[in-house]
Amino acid sequence: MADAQDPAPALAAPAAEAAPRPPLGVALDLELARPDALLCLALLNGLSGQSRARRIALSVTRPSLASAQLADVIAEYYATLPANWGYATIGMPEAGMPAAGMPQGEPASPDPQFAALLARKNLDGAPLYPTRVRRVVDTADSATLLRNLLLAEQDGNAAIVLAGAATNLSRLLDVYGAIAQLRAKVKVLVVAAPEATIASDLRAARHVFSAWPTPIVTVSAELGAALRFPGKVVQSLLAAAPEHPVASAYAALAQMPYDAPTTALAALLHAVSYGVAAAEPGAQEYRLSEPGTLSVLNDGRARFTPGASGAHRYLIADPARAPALLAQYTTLVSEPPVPRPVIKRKPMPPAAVAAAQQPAGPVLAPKAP
Amino acid sequence: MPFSRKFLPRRTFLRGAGAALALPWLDAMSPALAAPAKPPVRLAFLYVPNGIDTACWNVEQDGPLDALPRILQPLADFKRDLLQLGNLTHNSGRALLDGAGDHGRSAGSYLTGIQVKKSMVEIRGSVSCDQIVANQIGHLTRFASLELGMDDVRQAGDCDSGYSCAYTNNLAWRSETQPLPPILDPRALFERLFGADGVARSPEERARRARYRSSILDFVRADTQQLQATLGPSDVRKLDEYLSSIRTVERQLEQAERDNAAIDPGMPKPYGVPPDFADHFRLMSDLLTLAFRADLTRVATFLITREGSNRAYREIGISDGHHPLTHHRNDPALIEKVRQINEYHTQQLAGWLAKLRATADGDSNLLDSSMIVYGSGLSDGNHHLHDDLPTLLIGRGGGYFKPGRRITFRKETPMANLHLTLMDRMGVRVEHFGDASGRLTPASLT
Repeated sequence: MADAQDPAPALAAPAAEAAPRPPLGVALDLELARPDALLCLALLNGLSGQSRARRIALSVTRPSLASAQLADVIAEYYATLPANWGYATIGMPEAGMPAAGMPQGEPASPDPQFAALLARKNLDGAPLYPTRVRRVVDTADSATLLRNLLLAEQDGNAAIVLAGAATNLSRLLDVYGAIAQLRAKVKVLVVAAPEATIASDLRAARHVFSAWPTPIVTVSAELGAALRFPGKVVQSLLAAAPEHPVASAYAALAQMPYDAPTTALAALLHAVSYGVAAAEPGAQEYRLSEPGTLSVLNDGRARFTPGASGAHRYLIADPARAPALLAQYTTLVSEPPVPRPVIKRKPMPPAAVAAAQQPAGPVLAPKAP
Repeated sequence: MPFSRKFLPRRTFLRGAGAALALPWLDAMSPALAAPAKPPVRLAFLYVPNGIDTACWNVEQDGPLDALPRILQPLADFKRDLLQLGNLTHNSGRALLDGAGDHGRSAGSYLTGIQVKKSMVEIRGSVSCDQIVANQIGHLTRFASLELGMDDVRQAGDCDSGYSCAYTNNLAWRSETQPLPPILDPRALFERLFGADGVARSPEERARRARYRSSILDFVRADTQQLQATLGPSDVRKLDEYLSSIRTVERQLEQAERDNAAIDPGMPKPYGVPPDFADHFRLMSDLLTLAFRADLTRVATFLITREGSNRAYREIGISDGHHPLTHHRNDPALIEKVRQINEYHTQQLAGWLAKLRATADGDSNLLDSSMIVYGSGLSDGNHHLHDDLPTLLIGRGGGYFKPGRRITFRKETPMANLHLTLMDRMGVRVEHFGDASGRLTPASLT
């Protein structure tokens, strides 16, 4: 892979890493109309409960307001920010967006199945899935969002999982300074079903596979199709919690029950275990190919050329591990939301409280401006 | 100085003993038969600290400004001059990996767009956007830029969790390591603008001079009379207005100095600093108006109070510090005081805008010729949030912007994108700045 040159300096000086290293920060860039991408969000919640990973960013790969709204609902369900601390901003591609100040219409790709889901009401007539994403401006340009959020991560302690078009990541490569940041912060990009990534946005895929500055691991659609996630598990989630947003969205995509490929689940699990010691959890789940270079051809096909200097690898499944993997997926996807974090703030010193709460002092000669 | 009836150079001064008075734009400065020159565009950043209560600041819907929220109501007369910009963000103000110190970072990043180095000793920022402009066009005016303030100007020590006071107490940065401290003292600013030597004197010397001082207009009287004889009626009127406004400022300064001698504000104050906040603001902003009017500079920053300021606003009956109040923990009584302070600030701003609008500038007025950014480097001062920063872009930038609206950008849109856009309008093209991801969409602003 060509090592893209970026003359831009890192925007933030490398910080002293005295603080304890938190679990791996994972940025998810997802096509939510894929059931494996939906399940990926639930899997990350399960991994967070085991302190193996945490979600740092969530973006959708198409300019679809309904998709962004669904992402917001799920992000809030699996909240990673303290209450009253704002909410996780959802990223969406810039392309196709109406400019600020222009009429705020629905962006290019509607998702009727999600729109119907989001229109559901509870018994009181209130939205069953309230979302704070009402307009395009309630989302962020994914490239800027990813750049910003990655800056808050310790070096080498982040990973990106892509399941969908590479539009966002391609644009991220063009943001001034981003390549240096990616090289510093991200240990691996894992692409779930590169075939779909290429088909969705050929130009962006070519850009990412040729210019991305970190190792890339691909998980073929074939690997994901060989191990399918049981739809009955999703049904049981719905039975236990009828408003479960991931399960509800999963059910909205096709006639239930259906079994979904596990491509994005494998991508996430591998991202979390990438580079860990052999004895650590997850290190033995999949094998990696020899290194090489994946090229995107003009006709949309991908060609993998082995070579020691290549930064690309692909995932290889061990059929003997399939039952254990499936059990792991089922358990982790079924986990309830990890409790919302709580920020403990220093109490205000009593003297400051007393001073702040005393009655207003004398007015000193008020004057008109 | 001999003055010609035919054409008056733009950079003409009325001179006298120890004084050099620049002139406002006069018709005589346009060559005969030439198309009237367009007034230059002026750029100013006005900063208020500790965030602004966004519940009473943000207009609810994009589009024309109709009903204004409480903190903007003092600006009701300027609805058609305001662009309220939503969702601009300073990611560089966030902790990222540097822990506490949001006040230090928010001021340090405000005009630089970068994360400043957390240190009390080894300060490191970046050239601020106003100084990038000043470096490019500063040769056109007597002063490349002006830096104004009304608060603490300590440049050393810990002002926020390990961040040097150099970060909280300055907006403008000439280089990575050289912030430009603001001038607090209106007398010092006056002498900088109109003193011929440009040398700041000691407070004692200035006090001694002030006791025996005649008006600066007396020093330049001979030049003034000679010039008036060469001007047409319209220019004579403009010159009279201009000289009157200088005299008004002089009188305010003298009053401030008398007040300062008579009133103990409870803290050290430079000699000419009025003890009353509104008086101080009015003097500083009047001097800035004069500087813009006489084209002494086209770039200014005004740190109304330093970031993290604990100033009490006894002028409006608030005796507790601004900063502790913003950590209100949702106590309605404390929130109300924060809103009163925010409102008080916009009242002062309204007073300045009225003067800019009343000041002729070519065929228009100074407000139309200007781009004034008013805002804070924090939105929610209670939680130290750095997104959706309260931001007003005021004026038309010489007919470029179409104000009178609220525009909400997408979340996380870098504030530095606004800086790039403003630099463009000042004729300074920069490819990269801070953490900008691009420029604000021109169609949305114009």
